[in-house]
Amino acid sequence: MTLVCLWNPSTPTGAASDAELGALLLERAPRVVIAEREGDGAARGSGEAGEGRRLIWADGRGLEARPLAESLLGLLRAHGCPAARAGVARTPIAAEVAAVHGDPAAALTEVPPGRDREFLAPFPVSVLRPEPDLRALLEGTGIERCGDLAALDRESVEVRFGGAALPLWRLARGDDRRQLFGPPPPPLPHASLEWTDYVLRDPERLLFVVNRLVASVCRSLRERGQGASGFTLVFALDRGGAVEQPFRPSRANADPKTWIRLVRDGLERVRLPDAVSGIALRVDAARPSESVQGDLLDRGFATAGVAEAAVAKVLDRNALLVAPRTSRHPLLRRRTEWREQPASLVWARPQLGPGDAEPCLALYLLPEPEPVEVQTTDRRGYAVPVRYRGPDGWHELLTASGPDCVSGGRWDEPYAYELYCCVRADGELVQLGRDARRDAWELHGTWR
Amino acid sequence: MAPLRTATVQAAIAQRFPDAVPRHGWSRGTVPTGVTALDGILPDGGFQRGRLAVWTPGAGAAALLRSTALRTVAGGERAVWIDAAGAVVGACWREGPLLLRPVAPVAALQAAEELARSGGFAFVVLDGVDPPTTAMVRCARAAHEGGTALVLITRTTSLASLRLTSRPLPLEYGWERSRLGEPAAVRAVKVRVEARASGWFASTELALPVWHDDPRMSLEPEHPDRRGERR
Repeated sequence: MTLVCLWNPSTPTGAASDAELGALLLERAPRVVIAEREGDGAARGSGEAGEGRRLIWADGRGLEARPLAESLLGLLRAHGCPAARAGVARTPIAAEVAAVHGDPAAALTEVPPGRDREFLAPFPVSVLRPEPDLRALLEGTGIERCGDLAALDRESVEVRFGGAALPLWRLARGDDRRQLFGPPPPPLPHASLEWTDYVLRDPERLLFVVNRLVASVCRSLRERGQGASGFTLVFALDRGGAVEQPFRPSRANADPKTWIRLVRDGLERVRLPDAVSGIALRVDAARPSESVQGDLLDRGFATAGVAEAAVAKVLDRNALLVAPRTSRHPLLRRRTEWREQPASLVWARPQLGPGDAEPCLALYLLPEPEPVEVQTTDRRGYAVPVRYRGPDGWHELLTASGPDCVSGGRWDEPYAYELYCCVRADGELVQLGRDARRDAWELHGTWR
Repeated sequence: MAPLRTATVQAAIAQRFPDAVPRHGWSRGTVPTGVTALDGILPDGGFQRGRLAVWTPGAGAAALLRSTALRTVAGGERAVWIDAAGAVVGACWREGPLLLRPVAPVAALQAAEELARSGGFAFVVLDGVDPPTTAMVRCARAAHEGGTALVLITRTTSLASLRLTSRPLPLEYGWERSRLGEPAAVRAVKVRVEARASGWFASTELALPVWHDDPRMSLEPEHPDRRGERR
């Protein structure tokens, strides 16, 4: 097992957060752990360069360790850690000492495989961070270097320094039993089928094959208690090449019906330049199946499951479940940002007061302001509309209140409007606006 | 057990545990709007579950349906508003009902059908689509299968068991006047609502307040408000 240890001796400048840094590092290394260096808690509490005390561990199993370490070092330097150093070794202690106490002239210190004990031997025992009383005991007996400690046998260490010294003795011998990374996760389920005697062009036949693959992959996912939040179909083409079609279900699931529905919709859009001689289905991302804690006394509890499934189905078919986030932008049209919501929102139980449901006419904006022809009259310097012509003809206005003048957007998209709230002769309440920058009238919306 | 007693027990179960009522069970009930005058003109005192209703677009339609959706959610059930035209303004939207925005009218109809059929929603409103008759058939069937009160804001009225229209009364607007006596802001309006069903016609007049935007709240200092400036 090859480990890469990254160490930053100085306080990072303008560094990204741990989460952001971890996400960046994970793009280059399969597994990454950001951990505080053991024994440095006091240093952090004393206000020393706490951020720089952290170690970043990367799992280099099965990878070229040196290029990986250089790549990660480059990434760290680009994110506020210009003095970062790295150590590469088979044991955590050797990698850590190589990174922290290695050659100051070199940013990367690599310990050859099987030479960890030899590498540690010339370093003082303090690099192993012994407890203060043990450290004093070692100094009192003249043991200064890791090599001196490693040269002792186990019984001697136990008799002279007690059982507490054994872990330190093991570290000095390059015997570090820390498990920084758990066992590697099992590969995500996948299935494939290839054929050589014939080729397929008919989508229905392709779907027949996909159906088998989906059943197999979904079964594997269910056995693991997971659902896929993304999967990809790969069509191997007869004359070489492949076409990949990714799918993103609105919620993580392992339901073959949902998958087939998504695939069926996807096959209507995908263009295959050649006949197909094989299909592979792989899961890109999986999440544990979630069960939501509900309230038995909730009137909608029993139907929440079917409601969520129905909403998920709708979201998979070109619809968005949204909630508004309203800013203080002066222009109503630009005030709302619609945030996409998950299907699991159906489990939410919003608390509404008795006054929240009182009906009131609210303004509904047209998707885009509609240009209209307007006849106006003068009212204290403002052109006030008296009638306008929309797509359905002229409309007399009984009353027009306003204008409400809004302007701004100097730094992005300038705007200047005079808004009028008008009552038409048929009783409808509409909002007319004069774009002062273009001197053009528009119908913005109606109160409904 | 006597029929009367059975009905009493069924009513008690339906009141206390609505989800325990079979989807195609003994009584589907209604989704009341919560507005007494409006409930009074509807055949069963609300929108019938399992039925398709149509409200012709007009002032008051969205306001009263939004209020009904909020009351449905406040009552512990689920409601969804399908905004096919993307016309809902975030500043006036209140959290409670789900808000769906399909990308196309066809997707909106499919969404209404799917959600109504699921049985997970007591009240579904589709706004911004004029469906063809075939789609109305599917919507009516979906509402029946799911026991959902499905309301379409559309001019297409075929196959609807209940048809509603609303129009504001032009001379019944309540204005807040400026110091000069001019109308400054609409405060309320009286709306006439008519309900039609087989062998049924009723109407009422409701006074509805009007929501107003506050457009002057954050003008940029570089661009002074031109209110009152002579041109």
